[in-house]
Formats: sequence, structure tokens, C-alpha cells
Amino acid sequence: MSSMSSAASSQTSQRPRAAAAVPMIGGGQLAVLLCVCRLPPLLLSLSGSGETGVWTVFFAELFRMLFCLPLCLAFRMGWDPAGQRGAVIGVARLTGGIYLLVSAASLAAGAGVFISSTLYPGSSAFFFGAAILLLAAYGAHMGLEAAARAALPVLVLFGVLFLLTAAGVREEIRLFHLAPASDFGSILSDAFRRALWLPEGMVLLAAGPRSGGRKSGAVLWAFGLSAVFGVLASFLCGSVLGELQGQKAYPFFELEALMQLSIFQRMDAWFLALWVLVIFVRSLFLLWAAAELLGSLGRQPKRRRFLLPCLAAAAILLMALSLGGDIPGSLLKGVAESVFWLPVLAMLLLAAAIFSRKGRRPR
Amino acid sequence: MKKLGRIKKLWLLAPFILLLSSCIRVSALQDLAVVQGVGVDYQDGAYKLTLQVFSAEGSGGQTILDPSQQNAKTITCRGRSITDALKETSLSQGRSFFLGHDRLLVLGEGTRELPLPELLALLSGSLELRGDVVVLAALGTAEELLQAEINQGVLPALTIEQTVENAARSGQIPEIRLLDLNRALASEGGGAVIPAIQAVEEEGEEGSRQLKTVALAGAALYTKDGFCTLLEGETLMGLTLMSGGAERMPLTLSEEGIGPMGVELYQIRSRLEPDPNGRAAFTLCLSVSAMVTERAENPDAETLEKAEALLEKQLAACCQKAFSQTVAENRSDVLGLGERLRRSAPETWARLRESWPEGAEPTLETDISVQINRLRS
Repeated sequence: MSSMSSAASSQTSQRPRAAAAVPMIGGGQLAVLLCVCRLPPLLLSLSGSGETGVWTVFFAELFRMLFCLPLCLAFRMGWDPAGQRGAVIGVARLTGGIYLLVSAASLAAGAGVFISSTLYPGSSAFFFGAAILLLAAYGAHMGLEAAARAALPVLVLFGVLFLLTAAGVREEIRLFHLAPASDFGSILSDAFRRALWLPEGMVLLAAGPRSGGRKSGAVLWAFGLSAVFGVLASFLCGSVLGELQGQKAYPFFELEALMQLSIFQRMDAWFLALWVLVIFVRSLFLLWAAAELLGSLGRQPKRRRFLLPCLAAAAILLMALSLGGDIPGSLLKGVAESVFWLPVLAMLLLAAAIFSRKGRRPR
Repeated sequence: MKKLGRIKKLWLLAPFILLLSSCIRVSALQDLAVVQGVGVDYQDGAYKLTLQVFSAEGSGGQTILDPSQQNAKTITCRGRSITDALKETSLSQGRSFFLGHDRLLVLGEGTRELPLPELLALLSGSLELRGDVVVLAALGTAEELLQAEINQGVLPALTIEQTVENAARSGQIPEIRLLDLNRALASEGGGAVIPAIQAVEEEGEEGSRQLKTVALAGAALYTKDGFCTLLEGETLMGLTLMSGGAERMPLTLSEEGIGPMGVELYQIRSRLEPDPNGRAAFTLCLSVSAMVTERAENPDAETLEKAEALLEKQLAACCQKAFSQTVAENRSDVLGLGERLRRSAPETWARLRESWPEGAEPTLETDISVQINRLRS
């Protein structure tokens, strides 16, 4: 009986399996990439004002962390989506890839409007968005490791300039400007709704198998650090700008323009250059992950080299339609927020992981 | 090495996003009119905009800037709105205005009848115009002030800005910038105190041109609806103390048994605390250090104690006068009392918000402590 079971298990082990993903980056690099990925939507579109905004940012990042943890648990249990085939994983890859494409287009449109508003008034938002997408596609072609290594100095530089901004506006902080928090129930529901827009979850699905180390640790670090940035930024905007925050398109950038610390002042160009870097890294990561997810649907690796240019072109088209008003920008965001339910997807993936693990156990 | 090459390539890619922008639109420096000061006047139903633009007047040779020259020229334009006025300039001059280096925003006397939000709508919404632009209220027209041939400093606007900053540091006037003004206007019942300034002629030597300088002359009190009154003297001093913007403040005490005695206040710490019971009542906690700067004889301990008591009384009187003239009489919440009440007692604020500050009738108590530091006397 035991020889028959061992023979059966050896036959099972000899069954050809799809190639498992080779780790390309460490857990720390994954954390850095995820954190940099979080910065543009976190700081360029601050949620709420006053204490409400601070709590909303905090709970939204907490929810995002919780949504990603089931995926990390699946990875920890040995689940490797790169080697999986089947309808469930196929649907996850397809929807994830499209979701990331829509997110990249939305980011490029928003970035184009931001840069053309703050740096080159009257210039074309489409040009900036298209340039970001094309260059990000080329950057994605260079691979995940290059992106991860390039992201670390970006994060460090961002941290330094962030602290400089905080120090530079410290004399403008008036706690009484910070409107008190209202109903915590509405704060939690708003935070939950915002947390559903989580392309980083899909990115984790693509990048997780490519990274070594503990993914759960990487997720905790990434979202923890982005929560610190978000809470501080929201606090500064609320306590410095007060009611004015609601009238400003980019309140955090307003603070960066105001900051004054000894010789460090009027550093708008530095901040804008840094934002371009951050947006570039996020776009790169989104396109890379979209290519990774959609590319794994096919069985022919040779054709994947055309995938990135096609994705970039599709994203540019979506962005153009959005900027031109054919597709409202809110629709892009609405699709990303409401159609793809990450928590449900994460649970399905976890269930698939547990099921596949049980299937591998010898009977 | 291959990895390093890829990382370097990635770093080089991002700046292309910024550098390639020149393919779309070129804005050379010589095509820009770098605005140093903006003046807004209103007359006969139309706006008149005066823009003081940087214009280098070198003395030849190696120098681009000659400090003895104005290095500025003014451009005026008119229109039914500020947007129309700016549009008009494109018909008469070939450079586009760049507001990123603007230092001053001067509101002429004629704009007093206009609500501040309407007046500032275009300028506040501009992403070029920074929040740290100094706002001034001209006694007379803004055009006259910006066209004044000020002979101090390299740039006239810089001279005016430095004059205002110096006066604010010495507690003569509260300095206000565009951010402070917008912040005040965004809050319920908000108001602002804008330094008032005027051009003053100086008598030159025989045969030389009449030169002008600027002099601060109190401050203009505004609500959202427009100008209320001019503040000066003790009212202004009290307001400066309560807003906590002064680094030092010279005063003279003259009373039997003490004076005359010149003192300078420093380490001025002020705090406005709302009533813990949720009423519209506030307590001003003011703590001040002082030193004797001018006196015929060295004061003894008893004299210093009397001086401290007198100072406390005088400062309390100034603060009460400032409060009554701004908040009580003119309904201008320049001290952010509404926001403080909103933070400490949200329920009370919700009840009083619609009628703030008229219906709420806030009151002020003072708790002032002065310490004359003997070691610095």
C-alpha cells in the first residue's frame, strides 16, 4: 500500500508543471515599490479636510493593508500563481490586468493635469500623460529589479523633501484650523470606499511571486509608511490651510510652495521634479504588473514583447478619451473602484491556494 | 553592471517628461514680464491693474543691476474685470506676465467698496501667485504707490516688502500675506487686518528730482463684505499682541513714580482659549518678558514692580480695545475665534455658526503676565 502511494505520488510529482516564478527582488524592495506606488494618489488627492481627512486617510490605509494580507497569506502557504492554470486564476489575471491598465490611464490623465496646471500653464495635459506612459512602458521593459532599485532613492528623496516641507510650514500650523472630526461611522465608510480602489493589490498579485522574503512584512511596511505620510500630510494641510484646503486643487503642493526654512524656499521645481519621478515609478509598476498578468494568460512567451507597447497605446487612448471628455475621468475611477472587488478576489485566491495545497498532499 | 545600467537608464528617463515640454511651448525668460508687485484700483465701475515689472537697468560694464536705479517699470491696464484688464495688455505689449515672483499685492482705496472674495477671485485662484505675497492697503491709489520712485534698495517692491516685514517684527503692524487673507475669508465670519501704506514725498536737494518713500499708516480692517475702518495706535498694538506675530515691541511708560521709562517687550506668547463651558467667551493668556531700554536712573525693585503692574494694565486695555473695535463693533473675526470655538465646542459652534459673530456676541477676558528682566535692564 505504501509503495503504491509512493508510486502515485512520484507520478504526480513527475506530471509536467508550468514554470514557477523566479524571485527577482527582495521583500524590502517590494515594500519600497509599493510605498512609492501609494504616494501619488495619497498626496495629490487628499481625502476630506481637518480631522476627518486625517482619520479617513489612516483608516483607508489600514483597510488596504487588511485587503492585501489574505494574498500574502496565500503566498506564505506556498501558493504560486505563476504556475497556476485554471478558470479562476485566468479570470483574476484578465480582470487584474485590465484594472491596472485603467489605473495607469487614470494616473497619467491626473498627472498630466497636475503638471500642466502647476508647471506649464496652458500646455497640453495629454502630452505629459502620453510621455509618462511611453517612458513608463520602456521602463517596465527593463524589468522589476531595475524599477525596485531605482525606487529606493526616490523614496529617500521624497522622505527628505517631505520632512523639509513639514519643517518649513511648522510656523503656520494652527491647531484651531483643524476642523474636529464628525461622525466616525461616515469616516469609516468613506475610508472603506476609498480603500476599494487598490491597484496595489493587483500589483502584489503580479509582483508577489517575483519577490523573495516575507510579503506580509513588505505589505505592512509599505502601507504603514504610506499611512504615516498620508496622515502627516493631511494634518499639515488641515492645520495650515484650514477651510482653504477644500478650495485648493492640490493642497499639499500648496504647502510645498509655501515652505520656508532658512535658505530652503521657493523649491517648487525640485518638488515637481520629485513628483514626476514618483508618478513615473507608479506608472512603470502598474504597466509592468498589467503586462505580467495579461502576459501569463498566453502560452507563448515570444509574443509578450509586444504586450507592453500595446498596453501603453491602450492606456494612452483611454487617457485621451478621458481628457477629451469622451470618457469622464470619474468613470475611469468609478470602474476601478466599484467593479473590481479586491477583497472578494483575494478570498477566492486564498481559497484556491488552500485547495491547491490540499490537492498536493499525498492521500 | 548590466543592472546598474538599467537603473541609470530609468533615472534618466523620468526627466525627459519635463525636458521634452519645450517641444510644445517655449517660454524664454526674455519673453516673460516678471511681476514684482500687483496693484488693484477700482474707479468708475472698472478695474485698473498696475503691474510693477522687473526691468534691469545696468550701469554698463559687468553689472546687470544698478542699485541706484529703479530696475522696474510699471504697466497699467484697465477692464471690467481683472481678467479683462490682463487681456488688454496682450494688445499693447509683447510679453506674458509671470506672477511666480510677485512680492506685493496692493489694494487701492477705490477697492474698499468691493467684497474681498470678489476682488481676490482671480488672483487667489492663480497657481503662479504664491501664498506668501504680502498684502497691503494703499491710502490713495495702488498705482501711485507702485509708481513711486523709491530710492532705497535694488527693487522698489523688495524695499516695500522689507519695510513691512521690519515693522511687523517690531510689533508696529500685523503682517498679512495672501494665504492668511484667503484663510480668513474661507472661515465663517472671517475678517482681516491689512497694513495701510502710503507714498510719501521727500524733499530733494535743489535741482534734484522729488523722490518718494513709503510709510506705514496703521491698518485697514476688513470683513468679507469690504472695508470697515482704519485701525491705529493702541488698537493696532493690542491686535498685534493677540495675534502673536510680534517678536518685540518698544513702549514708553510715563507715570508718577516710574517714568518716563522706555521698555522693550520680547518673548511675547499669546494664547486665546475658549470657555470650557461652551459659551462664546474667550480668555487671552498673554505672557511677556520685558527689559528697560531707557531710563534716567537704574530702577529699583519696587519701581520695576510698579512698572510691571502698569504694563499689565496697559496691555490689557490695548487688547480689550482691539477686541471691541474689531469683533464687537465691526463684526470682523480677525482672531479666528469662530474656528477656536468650533474646535473646543462643536455643538455650540453648530448653534452659533449661521449668525457668527453678530448673533453670538463673544466676550474676552484677559490674563496678562509681564516680567521685567533685571538682568537685561
